[in-house]
Amino acid sequence: MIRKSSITEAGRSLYASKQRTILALIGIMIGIGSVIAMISVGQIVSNESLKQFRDMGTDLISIEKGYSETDNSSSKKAKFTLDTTKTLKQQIPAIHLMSPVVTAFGEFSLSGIKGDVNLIGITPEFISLNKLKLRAGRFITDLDRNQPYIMLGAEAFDQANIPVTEDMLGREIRMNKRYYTIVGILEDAPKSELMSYQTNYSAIMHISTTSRNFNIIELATVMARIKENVKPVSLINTIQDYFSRKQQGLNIRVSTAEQLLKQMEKQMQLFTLLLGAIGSISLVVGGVGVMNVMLVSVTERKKEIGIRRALGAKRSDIQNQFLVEAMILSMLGGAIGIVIGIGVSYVLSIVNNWEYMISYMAILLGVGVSSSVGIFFGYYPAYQAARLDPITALRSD
Amino acid sequence: MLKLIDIHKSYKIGPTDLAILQGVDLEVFENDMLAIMGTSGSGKSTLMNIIGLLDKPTSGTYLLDDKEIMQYSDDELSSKRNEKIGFVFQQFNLLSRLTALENVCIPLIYRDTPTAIMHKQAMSMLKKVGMDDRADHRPNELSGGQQQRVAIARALVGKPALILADEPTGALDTRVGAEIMELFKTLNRDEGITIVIITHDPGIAEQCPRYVIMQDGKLVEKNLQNKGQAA
Repeated sequence: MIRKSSITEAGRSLYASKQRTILALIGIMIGIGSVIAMISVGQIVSNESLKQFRDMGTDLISIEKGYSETDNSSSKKAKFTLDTTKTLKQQIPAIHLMSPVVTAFGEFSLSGIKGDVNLIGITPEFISLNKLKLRAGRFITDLDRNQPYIMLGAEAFDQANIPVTEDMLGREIRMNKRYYTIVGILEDAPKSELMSYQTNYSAIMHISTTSRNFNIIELATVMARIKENVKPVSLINTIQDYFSRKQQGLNIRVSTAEQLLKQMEKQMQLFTLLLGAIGSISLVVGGVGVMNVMLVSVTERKKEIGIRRALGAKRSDIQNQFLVEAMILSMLGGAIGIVIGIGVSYVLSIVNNWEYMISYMAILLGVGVSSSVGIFFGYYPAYQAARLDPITALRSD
Repeated sequence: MLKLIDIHKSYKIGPTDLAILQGVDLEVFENDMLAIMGTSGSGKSTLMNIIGLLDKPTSGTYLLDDKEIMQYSDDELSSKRNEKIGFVFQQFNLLSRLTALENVCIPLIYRDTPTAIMHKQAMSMLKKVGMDDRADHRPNELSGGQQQRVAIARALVGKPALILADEPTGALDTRVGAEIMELFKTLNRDEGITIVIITHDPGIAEQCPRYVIMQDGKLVEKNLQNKGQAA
C-alpha cells in the first residue's frame, strides 16, 4: 500500500538533494525523450511514405511484361502491345479505368537550349487514372492521335535544369528531328511506387504519336483501377489468363498497390521499431542513473531508515517510500521527456518538410515506460533499504 | 507488563559465539520508572534493543503484555514497536527535513491515522513537552534540549506502553539534562507513563525510583530501592 504521505515525503527528499535529482531527471528525460522522438519520427516518416497510397488509392494495379523462366521461342516472340489491351476492360468488368503507357527517351531543343527528356505516350484515361491537374493549356485527348502535341509534366526539363514556365505554352519543341507544340502544362502529379514512369519529369503525348515517331512496339506498363468492392489480389490470375489468351506465351506480372502497401507498412514498422530500440538504449542509461541516485539516497539515509523502523515502519513501508521516490523521479523525467520528444519530432518534421503528427502511441508508451523504468530501477535500491537491519541502520551516520 | 526471563543473546563472530547477555531476568511494572545502568560493553545496548523489539534474544522468554514475542515476524515486531514502545535516543534522531510537528507525526503515519487527527494529537504532545510554539521549526533551528523534548513528544504520541530512553541526557549539558529528567519524572508521576532509561551515568540512575545494574551480560543489584522513590 502506498500512503499519500510517502508521496509528499518523496517529493521533499528529492527536493532536498536537488543536484542529484536534476542529474537523474536529465538522464531519464533524454531517455524517454529519445524514445518518443524516435518513434514519432518513425511514424511521421512512414506516414509520409505511405501518403502516396492515400493520394493514389489502393485500387491501383500495374500490369507489366514479366520474364518467363522457360526460354522457349513463343515467350520470346510474345509482344506486350497496345492491341492486346483493347478488350481488357470488356472482358474483365472489375477494371473500370485502364491506361496503357509507352515510354521513350529523347533529346530536345527548345529556344536554343538542348537537353534530355523522358517521354510518355498515353491514352486520355491516363489523366483521370493519375489524377492529373492542369496548370495551363489543355490535356492530350484522342483528337491528338498521331499529332505532334505534347503536354509537360511539372518538372519536365529537370534533367536540363530548366524550370517549366507557363510561357512555354504554344511554343515548339524539337525532338528527334520533329517539332511538337506544347499544348498543356501539368501541376505536380501524385506519385506511386507502382508506376514505372514519372509523370512530373516527362513530356507527354498521345500513345500513337510516341509509337510511330519513336518506333515503339511494346507497352511499358498498363495501369488500371479496380472497382471498389473487388479485391485487387483476386484479379491477378484473371488478368494473366487474359493476356496469355491474347498472345501465346505472353508472361504478365501484376502488382497491386495493396500488396505494395502491406509490404511497405511492414518495412516501416520495422524501421520504427529499430528507431525505438536505438532510443531505448539511452532510456536504459537513464534508468541506471535513477538507480544510482536511489542507491546513494539509500546509503545516505540509512539513519533515517533506522529511525523509521524503530518508530514502527514495516519493511514494506520503507520499500514503498523509496519506490515511490524512484517512480516520481522517472515519471517527472518522463513527462518532461515526452514534451522534449514531441518537440524534437516537430522540429525534425518542419526541417524535413514532413507532415507533422502527434503520435499518441508514443506518448502512451512514454508514460508506461517511464513508470516501469521507475519500478524496475527503483526496486533494487528500495529492496536494499527495506532489508537493512534497523539496529545497524540506527547506528550509522 | 513486561517480563524478561533468562534472556541470552550471543553473536557469532567467526567460529566462536560471543555471549553478550547471559541470563537476564527483569520485570517492568506499569507506572515504573526504571534505570538500567551499565558501563559500555556491559550489554545494556543489546538489552535495550531486545526490550525495544529491534532484536530478538537467542534464548529466553520475553513477555510483553503477557504475550511471548519470540514467534513474532518482522512485520509483527514493527507493529508492536509502533504500538507499545516509544523510543528516545541520545542523539534525538529527529529527521532534519521535517518540522517538529511532522517529526512527532511519524509513528502515527504508520498507523494510517487521518492527517487532521494526526496533527491534533501531535500538537497536544508538543504542548505536553512545552514545544507547541516551535511546531513549525526544523531540528536545526532548535537547541539540543528542545530537540530532545520534540523526540519525547514523538515517543509519547502513539500512547505506548513504555518509553525506552537510551542515554537521553548524554548529548546535553548538565542543566538541560536535568530539565529532561524532570520532564520524565513529571510524565511518570502525573501521567503514569512507564519509563525505562538506559544510562551509564549513576547520577541519572539514582534519580529513578528503581534501577538495575548491567555487568558482564547480567543484571546485578536487582530491584535496588532508591531512597528518592516517589509513587
